Amino acid sequence: MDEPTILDAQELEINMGPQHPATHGVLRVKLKLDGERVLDADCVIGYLHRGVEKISENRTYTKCLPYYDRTDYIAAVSNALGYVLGVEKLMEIEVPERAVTVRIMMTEFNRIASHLLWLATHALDIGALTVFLYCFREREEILKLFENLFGARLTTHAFRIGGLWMDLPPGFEEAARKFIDEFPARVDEYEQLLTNNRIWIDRTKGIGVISGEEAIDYGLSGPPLRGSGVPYDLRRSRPYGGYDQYEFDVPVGLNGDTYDRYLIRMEEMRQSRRIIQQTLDRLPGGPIRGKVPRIIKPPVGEYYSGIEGPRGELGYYIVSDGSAFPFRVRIRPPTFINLQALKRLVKGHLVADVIAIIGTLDVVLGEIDR
Amino acid sequence: MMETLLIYAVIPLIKIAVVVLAVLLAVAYLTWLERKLLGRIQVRLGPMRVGWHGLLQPIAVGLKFVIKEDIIPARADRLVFSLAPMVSFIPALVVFSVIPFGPPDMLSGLLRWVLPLFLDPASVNRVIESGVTTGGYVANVNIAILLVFSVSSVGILGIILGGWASNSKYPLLGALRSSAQMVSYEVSLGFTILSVLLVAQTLSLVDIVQKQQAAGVWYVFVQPVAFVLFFICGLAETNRLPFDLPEAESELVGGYHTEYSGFRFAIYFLAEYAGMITISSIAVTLFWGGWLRPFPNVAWLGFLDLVPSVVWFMAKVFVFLYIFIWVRGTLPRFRFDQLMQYGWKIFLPLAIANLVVTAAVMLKFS
Amino acid sequence: MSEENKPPGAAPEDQPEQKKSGAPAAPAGGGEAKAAQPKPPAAKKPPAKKLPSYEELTDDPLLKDLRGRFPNGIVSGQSFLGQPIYTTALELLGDVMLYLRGSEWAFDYLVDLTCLDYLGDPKRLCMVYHLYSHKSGRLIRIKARAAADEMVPSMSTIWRTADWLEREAFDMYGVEFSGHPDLRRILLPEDWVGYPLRKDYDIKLQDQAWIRKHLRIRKVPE
Repeated sequence: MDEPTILDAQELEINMGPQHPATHGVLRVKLKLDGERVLDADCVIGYLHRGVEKISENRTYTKCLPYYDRTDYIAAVSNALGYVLGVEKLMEIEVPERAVTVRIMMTEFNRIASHLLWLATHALDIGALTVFLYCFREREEILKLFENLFGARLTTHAFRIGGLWMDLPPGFEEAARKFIDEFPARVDEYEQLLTNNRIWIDRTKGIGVISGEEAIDYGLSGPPLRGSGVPYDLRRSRPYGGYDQYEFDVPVGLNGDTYDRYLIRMEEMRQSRRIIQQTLDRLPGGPIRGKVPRIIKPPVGEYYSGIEGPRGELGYYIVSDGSAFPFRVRIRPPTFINLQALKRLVKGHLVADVIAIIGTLDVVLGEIDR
Repeated sequence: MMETLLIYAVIPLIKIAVVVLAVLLAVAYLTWLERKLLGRIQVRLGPMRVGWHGLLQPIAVGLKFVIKEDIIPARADRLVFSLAPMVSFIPALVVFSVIPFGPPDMLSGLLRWVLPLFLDPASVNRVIESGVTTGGYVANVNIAILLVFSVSSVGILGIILGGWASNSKYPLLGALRSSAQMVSYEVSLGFTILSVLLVAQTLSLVDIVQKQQAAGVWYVFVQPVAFVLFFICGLAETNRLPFDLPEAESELVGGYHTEYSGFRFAIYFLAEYAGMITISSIAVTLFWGGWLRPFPNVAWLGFLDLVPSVVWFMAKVFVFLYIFIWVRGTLPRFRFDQLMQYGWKIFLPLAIANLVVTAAVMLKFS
Repeated sequence: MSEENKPPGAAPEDQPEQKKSGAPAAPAGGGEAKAAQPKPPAAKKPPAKKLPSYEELTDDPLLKDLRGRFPNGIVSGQSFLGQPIYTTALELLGDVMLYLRGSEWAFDYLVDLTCLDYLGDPKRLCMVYHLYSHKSGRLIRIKARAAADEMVPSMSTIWRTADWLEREAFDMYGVEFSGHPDLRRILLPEDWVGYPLRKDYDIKLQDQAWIRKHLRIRKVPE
């Protein structure tokens, strides 16, 4: 083992993470650098692996549900939605209209909250301190709504198979309306700070460019895919859970760079608000839970229930062997697959861009490692 | 004998002590101010618990730094590692020796009141008229601006040494970044100052302020381009957002001071904030009339003289510090190559152009 | 009901199928064994409700096309709750996938790749691929059975997505992929022993030696 001399030290290998302020959890990226230019990047993941899929096989269908809150803990509501939709399909349970509407409302609230957290950390990584706290201000309002309805802020255990746990508490609708009335002005405020900011544009335009074709090849989904101009939004492409009855636009980017992905998420927040507005306007009365057998025992079969989570296509592939325990629940983790493209995206960029690109992929390590 | 001692040792020493203490205090409260202002900008309160509105927070933070464990990485170069923060901090203090906080006769009233307690009237007069004792500064050096520059360049060494001695990759990257950044921005900074020197035709900071008084106009109105460039380069020199790349915490963890903890880290921290005050003070001295009140030659505004000159100086410095913090609360961070591009391709040519135009104009009208 | 008819009906078609139906095959075969059991309790409540079941694909153009091109490759075509499932022989899996991606079917998007473990079956592992076509908007599922020691062709040259997903399948099920550029564990530590998502890996089981070595825990509770 001879120490490399300074003259040999052309490549510098550094560990970004697992303890690093900008890797959003315990992501570890082994970077090979030439000066500050990235030659190669290798992601080391699994630090948070808890074996959620294995646990699922040892729990009843109902008891699995809380575990999925802990995969993508930023978007716990979406996680719950994907799973309950799958099980309801297998069981052929009819969900009452009110529950369907509330589900969509809460999922969209969750999407906004998740995008807010993304914007906050992404901006912080690029050095915009203030946006961080502005976003948390709004996110707090959403978390309060969650707390009111679900009794928890983060790991919400939001939905139950067949419907909801509880009806909307009194005052909820007014609070929700108040939020969506104020929200557009808030988004404008963030955009004012960033969208036309010379530094922000310099830092994000042309960074991590990926073409639509390549994005599909890499299996990207969600904003990273739409940023490259592929209009693939499961709410539109394969509507689920009643989304086909709502009006909203699917924004797509042109250049597939970090800036476009930023713009798309900003627009998605506005669109989510639009959906929430519609849910509030049409919120029907009636029961919140369909007829659900006491013991959930789907017939032998399998179902892939994909939904558009805030980070991309979140899928639950549920295989039933007819017993009360799932034979297999496979979670198709959007960020796991999106993160795979990191290596491709960062090559040739600078260390500072790695941060911007990790931010733009919006990774949540709880979901990647499961 | 007694007089000489007073003139050349006692009074300067007292002045130095006062300035050092004042700067340290100012630095401590600058951190408080920054936290409070950022809090305001970011719809939160900032420190509120220690003392009234967190006024004792800097002291608590200082204490915390002192009692924290001082960790030196096993494979670090111990000597350089321990010295580096000092190399960074001491120049930041030395610079204040030539910064004029007030006019040359600022202290004469005070001395006239205090000295008779020890001396006979004749010696009091001699002490006061010696020309060294009464100024609102530690020393009036005729190459002050050069001194400021040479000394503050030494501060960069502290950062490079610290990053190098840590024997760790992130600090090394941070140190390399900052050496590149500070060296390149120092060039532009030098050129902007040169154009002021052309107008003032002196290197002494005291004289520059007096020239502004004589001209009846602050140099910012003579040299606006130079001022804007100076301020931007100043942000870069002090490693503040949007140029805080050497310590960009989201990229390089902590930059050059990643491996530092406890008191040594606190010294880096102090050096950085002292640097902010230095840059603001120089900006005020060169461009905003130093200790002068607004419109120094408009007679009917004479009541403004009731406010001591040193307060005017501090108020102006405060405005700059406020802008420093405000910028931090608003802008994202540049990327390293962009920063270098801006430095060499925009700021430097502009600064040189400004210098050339100034020289041409001066030549024409002299 | 249709599924009960299915395996015998589909069996004579080709060789790999023969093997498969011999042992209780998973999606269809597993259904055979238990399909009757869950029906009564659920059927009691809503009398008119028909429980979902596997249905043979009858006039599915993709199935016809695949059967035509790969007479020995396609074991069965079924659908469950409207999601089509095509079971292919492992030997031709790579060719079928390449065709699906490259032909006018244009399944350019590998949604997911995973594995199922049917313990006790000679071909215990079942690879499951979800494919989506951005052109036609179709989502299909491809399955292929493999024995525990059989090599599965890697899809990473067809879809880049497969790279990590196959590493995960290797990590969790011990599936060996032939032609994968960098097949190593992804979520578990590299020197971990055992494949946790296999059905014979108990939920409380862990690699005691690894824990002792790396976490320095001397007494590992059972």
